[in-house]
Amino acid sequence: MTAGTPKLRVEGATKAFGENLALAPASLVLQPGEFVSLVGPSGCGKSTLFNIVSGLLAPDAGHVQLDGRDITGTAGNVGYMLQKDLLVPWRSVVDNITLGAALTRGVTKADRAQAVDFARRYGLGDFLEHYPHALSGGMRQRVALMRTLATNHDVLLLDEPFGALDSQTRLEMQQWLLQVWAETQRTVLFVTHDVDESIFLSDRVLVMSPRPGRIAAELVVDLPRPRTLELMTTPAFNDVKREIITLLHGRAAA
Amino acid sequence: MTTNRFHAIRLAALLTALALVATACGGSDEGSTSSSSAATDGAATTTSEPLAITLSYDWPTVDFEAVPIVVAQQKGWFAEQGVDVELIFPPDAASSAKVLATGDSDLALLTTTDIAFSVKSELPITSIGNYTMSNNWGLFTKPGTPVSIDGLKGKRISTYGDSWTKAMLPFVLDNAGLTNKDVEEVVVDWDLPLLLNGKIDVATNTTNFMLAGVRDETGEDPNYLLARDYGAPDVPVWVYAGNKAWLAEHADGAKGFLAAIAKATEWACANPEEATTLFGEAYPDSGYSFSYNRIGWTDTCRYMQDDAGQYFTQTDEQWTTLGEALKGIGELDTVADPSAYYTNEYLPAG
Amino acid sequence: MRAGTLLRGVLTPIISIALVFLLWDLIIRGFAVETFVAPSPGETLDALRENWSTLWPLALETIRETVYGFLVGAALGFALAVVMAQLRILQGLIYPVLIVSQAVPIVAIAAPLVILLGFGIAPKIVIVAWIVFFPVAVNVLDGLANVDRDLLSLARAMGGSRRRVFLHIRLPATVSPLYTGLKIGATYAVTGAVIGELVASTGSSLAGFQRAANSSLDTPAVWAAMLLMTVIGISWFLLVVGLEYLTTPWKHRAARRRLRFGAANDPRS
Repeated sequence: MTAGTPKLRVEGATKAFGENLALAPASLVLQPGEFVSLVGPSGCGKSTLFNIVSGLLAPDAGHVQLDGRDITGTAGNVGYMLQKDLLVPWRSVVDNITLGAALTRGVTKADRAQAVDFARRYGLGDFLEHYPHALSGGMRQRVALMRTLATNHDVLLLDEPFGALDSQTRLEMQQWLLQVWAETQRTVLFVTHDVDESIFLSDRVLVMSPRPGRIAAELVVDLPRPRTLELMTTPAFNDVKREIITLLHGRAAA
Repeated sequence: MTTNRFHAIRLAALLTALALVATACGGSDEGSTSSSSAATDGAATTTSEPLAITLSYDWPTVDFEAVPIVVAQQKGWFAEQGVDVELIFPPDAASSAKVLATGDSDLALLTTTDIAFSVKSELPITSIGNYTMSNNWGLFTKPGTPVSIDGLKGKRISTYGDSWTKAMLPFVLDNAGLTNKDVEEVVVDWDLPLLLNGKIDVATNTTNFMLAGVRDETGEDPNYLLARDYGAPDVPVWVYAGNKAWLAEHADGAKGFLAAIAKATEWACANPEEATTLFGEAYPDSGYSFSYNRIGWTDTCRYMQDDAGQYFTQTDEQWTTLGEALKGIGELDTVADPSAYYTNEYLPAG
Repeated sequence: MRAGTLLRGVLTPIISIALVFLLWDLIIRGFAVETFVAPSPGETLDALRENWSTLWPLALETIRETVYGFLVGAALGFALAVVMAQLRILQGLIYPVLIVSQAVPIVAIAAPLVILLGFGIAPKIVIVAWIVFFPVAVNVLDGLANVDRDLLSLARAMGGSRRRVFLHIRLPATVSPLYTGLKIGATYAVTGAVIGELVASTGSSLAGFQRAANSSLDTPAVWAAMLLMTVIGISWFLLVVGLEYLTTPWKHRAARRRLRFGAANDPRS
């Protein structure tokens, strides 16, 4: 994990809103192709850290590097996806996937071809020209992820993308995400407060704690890939889960 | 014919007029019970209870043309004739005839064209006496700008788009050797500000309202020519009219009304200052100044008697002439027998 | 499904209009209302037929005034909303003026407008525009203010430029509120044109015809003109509704193009 330039490096990022310290100096490193989750209760600074990495928020101190390049406070360098699918109602599936291109430089033929390819590959082939309102919640999240992928950034920031889905759909989407991740070789920073989800998806889990928000612990999830649902009932999975819950719980009791 | 007399208070007045009509409808029921006793009484005497008469005005708000009615009421001359007159105001200028036709009023002040059309539309009303005896409609220019029959070509002339103007204007144009195409006719809602601002060259209106309006606004007189001097027929503009069913039952009431009006008109024309004061007392919130009312009323008086000094008396000829003029512009298909339009039956004796 | 839509979309309005006519007829007959006070639907339609050759050219003129005024008002309202949304300070300056403009009775400004603009179509366009621009401006401004903040954040995170975000997110988001404003404006637009015609016009006009008919005690003709004005107003409203339907397919269609495999692909079914 020390070899080569890390894909993403956050060093000593701090943010206060008035008197309230939202994020104590936080540092993290993502290696290329890594899947890392942030878990923690609400108010632990997950979103603040996220907005700093995406460039929507400038930190009071510290900096963010992408491939060793400083991107602190500049947007448009990483893929970004939220719990709300935020699909644009007047754009079709394909046009939503190409939104990033439309907002930055204009949609090219290649963008459309790539969008159609993504959609076909990941189960949206029959809905290329559908409007978002005609899609189910799970499908809308798929489109939202395709849109994030289509921006062609190596790093994807996913902020509880499946938080609003029912548990059945969520499980399907998690497996689907792993498939997409494996095939597209992106680096993912994933926010969730679902411990199972964080273990199932991640190479590492960062546990955050509130007041002030900070990264309190790190756990390497040394479970084999590709992962299937059966994994979630194995003793190894439960060991990791117990450890994380203890970390979270310990914090809550303190 | 429509003369927009006081634009600013129109909306408010319209609402008030509606309310007045509503209350008048309710009130006339009570009136009819008391009037039945008076009607059986025959000749009008001061001892029996007066006959309540509702009179619908020809305009949604009151103005100086109501002076004879106000004077007769204030001076007790209606009471002398055994009648009591309540003035009501229609929601719009054309509705006075309708209010009369439905029996919501017993008598009404109307324009002569109302009567001409009421026959066509089968309204059960008839004219019982001329308000003015001659035609005071004409063409007006603003103070300082002369008006002449020879200078009309190419001028922008305002009308109210009403039947009276449509019927009268061709006579004047014809007299000048012109047709509709030689002038620019614009239809307006209120001519005075447009005339004073030079947006129209010539306004068409009656002398009493235009003189009062221009002088009140500018302190000067407009220049004008009377249409009757340039080919237009000299027919009256306004008449008193009655609901036919009511007239049949209350012949003495109608006669008493006209008798009191004759006396009041004569007195008010002889004493315009006092008459205007009485009017101002009866309608302090009319929205018009004393001078406006005095100018308007004084001018109205100039047209209220015929050459023989008579009031009210109508002729077959005036109605046939008006009817033919309206037929000439396609507003009437046929001109009815003059008796369909009027009766002199209720003129006061003597 | 198509039959149901047809029933709801076409048949019910026809039935409701028929009911209005029936009620109108019943009131006239039931209370024995005289024709010169208020005519029955039949008498009104007869008068409409009789005066059609006179009324139709006048109606065309009224339609012209309505359409021009509507377009000017809508464009002005939209532009004002966009300008106000861009600059807070302008919103503070302009918004009160908008409110004041609508508090002024339109009848009161109509006369001065004629003095300023003459007797042609100009004052009518101004009056209609005056009526239409307000609901458009207010609704579009609301639409611009209520664009999902998260969507804007997302657009920014994607690196979207201000101009492109406006073009692709903010501007399209005004379409729905724009139509809301246009529909409100459409119902009032004809009234504005008629008020303009009443105050002054060169020669004849629909409002002038109505007034002349009123002064000659031809009540059925008055109502015929009124009916025609109403029909123009409703038609204009329906035209706007139709335009909205055509230009906002995402509101009522599953897909932009015809479904290739039919409704079976609709994941909600």
